[in-house]
Amino acid sequence: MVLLLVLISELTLNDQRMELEREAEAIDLLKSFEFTSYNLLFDLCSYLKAHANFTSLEEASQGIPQLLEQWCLQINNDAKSREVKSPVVRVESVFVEGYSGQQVDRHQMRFAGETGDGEWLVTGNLYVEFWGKGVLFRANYTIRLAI
Amino acid sequence: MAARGQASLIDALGALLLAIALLSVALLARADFEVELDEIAERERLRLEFYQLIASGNMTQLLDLCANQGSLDIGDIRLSLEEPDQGPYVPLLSSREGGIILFYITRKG
Repeated sequence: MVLLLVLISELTLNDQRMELEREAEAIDLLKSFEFTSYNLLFDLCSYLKAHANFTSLEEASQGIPQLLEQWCLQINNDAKSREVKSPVVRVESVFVEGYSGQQVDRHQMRFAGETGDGEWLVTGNLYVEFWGKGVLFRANYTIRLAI
Repeated sequence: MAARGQASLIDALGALLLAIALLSVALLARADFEVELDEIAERERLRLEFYQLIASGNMTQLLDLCANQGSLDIGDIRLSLEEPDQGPYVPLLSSREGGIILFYITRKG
């Protein structure tokens, strides 16, 4: 009888613990996806800031979309990115214009390392997707960055 | 051959020992779960502290410095190019010339 009672209470406790464990793992996974998606946005901003050295709007209008394409290829194909939840990224609706004080995203400017000498305003959308434990996680950011 | 009373006593003792063994296993599993919860909480603390660092505006320079010297301590956290052997950590991706670098954010010390 004692053994039966212990077995029942043990099974109940085990069920509760496993449920809590699953919830904790799900929260951790969600938080890691969120962090990695911000990490990617931050990386895109820094990458553009470091590589977009163009002298005319025509050059910038052609070169910046190419840079973004290279960045996406690098993230999607490099084996190391698979260690951070295998993200798949794409950038769409990219538009480049001369910067003359238009509204920008302050967070993205800080990510890029704001220097106050932005010449080109880049707008577009960054889409990030991850697959993890059978769940698709999606994030979408509007890029509004002066570089 | 054991007397009838002795047999009951042996059965009860056996049940008690089994119950103690089951409870011990349950307690050990609970301890593992608590360690795992602590690690999850620590990873989230590391992420939050790193968000604050990003907001400081000089993250690019800090990552460049860490890439050059292998590791960098900033406040209570450590950025490192080597994957830590133990303790919770958060990976951070950075696009560089020639590919992607992974940094690892851990607690200093």
